[in-house]
Amino acid sequence: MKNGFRQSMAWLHTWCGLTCGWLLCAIMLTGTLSVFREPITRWMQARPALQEAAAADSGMAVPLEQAVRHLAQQAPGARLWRIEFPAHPGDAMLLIWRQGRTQEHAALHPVTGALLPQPWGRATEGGRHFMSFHYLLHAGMPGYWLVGWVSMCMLVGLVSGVVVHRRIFQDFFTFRPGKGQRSWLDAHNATAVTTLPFLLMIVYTGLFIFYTSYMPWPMRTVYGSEPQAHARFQGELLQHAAEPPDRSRAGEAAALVPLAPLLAQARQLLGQPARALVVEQPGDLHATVRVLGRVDENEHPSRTLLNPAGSVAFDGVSGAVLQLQRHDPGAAFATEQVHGVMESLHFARFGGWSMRWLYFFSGLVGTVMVATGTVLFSVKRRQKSGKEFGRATAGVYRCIDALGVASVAGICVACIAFFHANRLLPVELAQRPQWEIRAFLWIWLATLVHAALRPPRRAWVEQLGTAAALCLALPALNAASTGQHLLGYAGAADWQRMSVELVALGLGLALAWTAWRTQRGWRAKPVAQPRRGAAMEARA
Amino acid sequence: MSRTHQGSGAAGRWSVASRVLAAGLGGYAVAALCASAFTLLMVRAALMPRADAVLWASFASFALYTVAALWVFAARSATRAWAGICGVCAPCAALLWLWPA
Repeated sequence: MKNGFRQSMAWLHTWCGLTCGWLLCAIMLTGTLSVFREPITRWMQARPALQEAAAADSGMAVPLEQAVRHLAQQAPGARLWRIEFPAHPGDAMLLIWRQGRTQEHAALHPVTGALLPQPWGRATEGGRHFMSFHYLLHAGMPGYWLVGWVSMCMLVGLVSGVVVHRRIFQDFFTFRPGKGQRSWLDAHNATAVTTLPFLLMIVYTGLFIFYTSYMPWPMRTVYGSEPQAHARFQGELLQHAAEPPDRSRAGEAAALVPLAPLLAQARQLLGQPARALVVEQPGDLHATVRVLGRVDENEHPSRTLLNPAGSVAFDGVSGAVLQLQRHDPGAAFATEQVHGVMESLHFARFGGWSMRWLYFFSGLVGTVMVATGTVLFSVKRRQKSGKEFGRATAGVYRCIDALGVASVAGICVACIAFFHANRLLPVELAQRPQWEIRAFLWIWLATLVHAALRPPRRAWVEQLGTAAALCLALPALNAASTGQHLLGYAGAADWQRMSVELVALGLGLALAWTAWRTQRGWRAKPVAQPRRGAAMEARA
Repeated sequence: MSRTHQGSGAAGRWSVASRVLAAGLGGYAVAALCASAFTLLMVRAALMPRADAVLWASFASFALYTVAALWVFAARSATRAWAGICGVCAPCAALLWLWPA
């Protein structure tokens, strides 16, 4: 019976892992990249660094006045104006508003308030692309539910995997490189053991974040299924959080209070620098000015997992404080914080950059675990067919091979091609962010077609090689298209953008090495096959 | 090993399809109904505030779903798997239906 249990778990692990592994590779790789979505966005925007902008944080009176003047001219009827303050030395001050359905931008010099040339940098989806692909697959609600389903399968795969590889911790110290199937299995085990706690945490928090849509039934049992039920539940959960002040449009014109004193007051109230300032219903008697604080994880690493930024709302005409929301690190842990803590855990919103690097490497190793798992299936079946599909087996294996190539190597090509698309698409192109995403999706599809047309080995080597070449060429393309380069970033102490290129180079080398090993390993394989095949069957 | 376990031919294929359905839909039903019944019991017995009960039940539901899915594939036959799923779902559903909040 015990043996039967393990066998059924092995069957489940193989097939659940194979069918979901393809999509999981894409989801995990993009999730790993979204850890660095802000640096990626900064790199893709490629905004030139401003000189003498270092003292930007002092006054702000002049640029804020200029900002309001510009916004009043360009967007008098907008529902809200958003002013984003520079996050790094050399950044511009950004003005954002909506004109109909399109979002408009303008950039001001943060000291002089002078209008900077348009467009300021490149319009781009940036790192947000990886994040939204990670949980939506750019496919709206069907994509959202598909990701939920695949996440559940990953949970099943992880638990059944522990049962199957019961000697998993012993296996961890076993690595037999250059031995074909054995090596793939060892790599699969080693990467799984090192990241198992991380992967369990990340997939579970990922599912739980969306529990009100993935698992709404407990809530509906108690709160009913009408649309207000969710708001009632949230209200009871966040019993201490204040209601936002109700400020509907009065319809009466009134002048906006000067913003600089409000900004200074907000900084003092929050004890945080300001990230952005939002004017709701500008020009109306009921205008509201909201100052959003910035949590600087690197200067003040949080002592708890929960460290949201505060905000202050002012009356936009009188300047009176309407609402102050401040994070209280001394507050006792309560149920209302559970969801926030899960989000912090999933989004790596704590611990600063060192934690992000840890997440990044754990995510990469986890992706390698899934990738080696899907490859292992093809490697095993190439030696000894399972004949699972009767006469169609060979054809199905061929499809499995192609899907494996496109989902492991192809997604790497598509991800790095997304960066290239950003640099190659014309700066003035309308709907530029959408074209970047289209390029990503079409190239991913192209890798699938390529994998279907070429023999598996050639497809693997060619796609891995393409991804490696694209990674290694990224700094050169950047220098050619924007004039920005590694040394320039280093000189300006712009570690974020420098790291993007360094990581691309590092991953490029790793991909090149993998391509080279694949090429070589395939050739060496037939000599060493039979012995190992027998040993494998006995073990799995 | 997979073939001996799942059987071969058409019968084996139906068994696999049946189990996949039992794990996917049945497992979800087990998770949803158990979590809902737990919430209801906690609220009825006044053991914790209702918002807390919802939160913890939802949190546990994904683990429950996983266990249910694994159990479906460990069961000796697909019929047994369905019987087990129904055996867990029925009392929870009865509780929710007879004693609503």
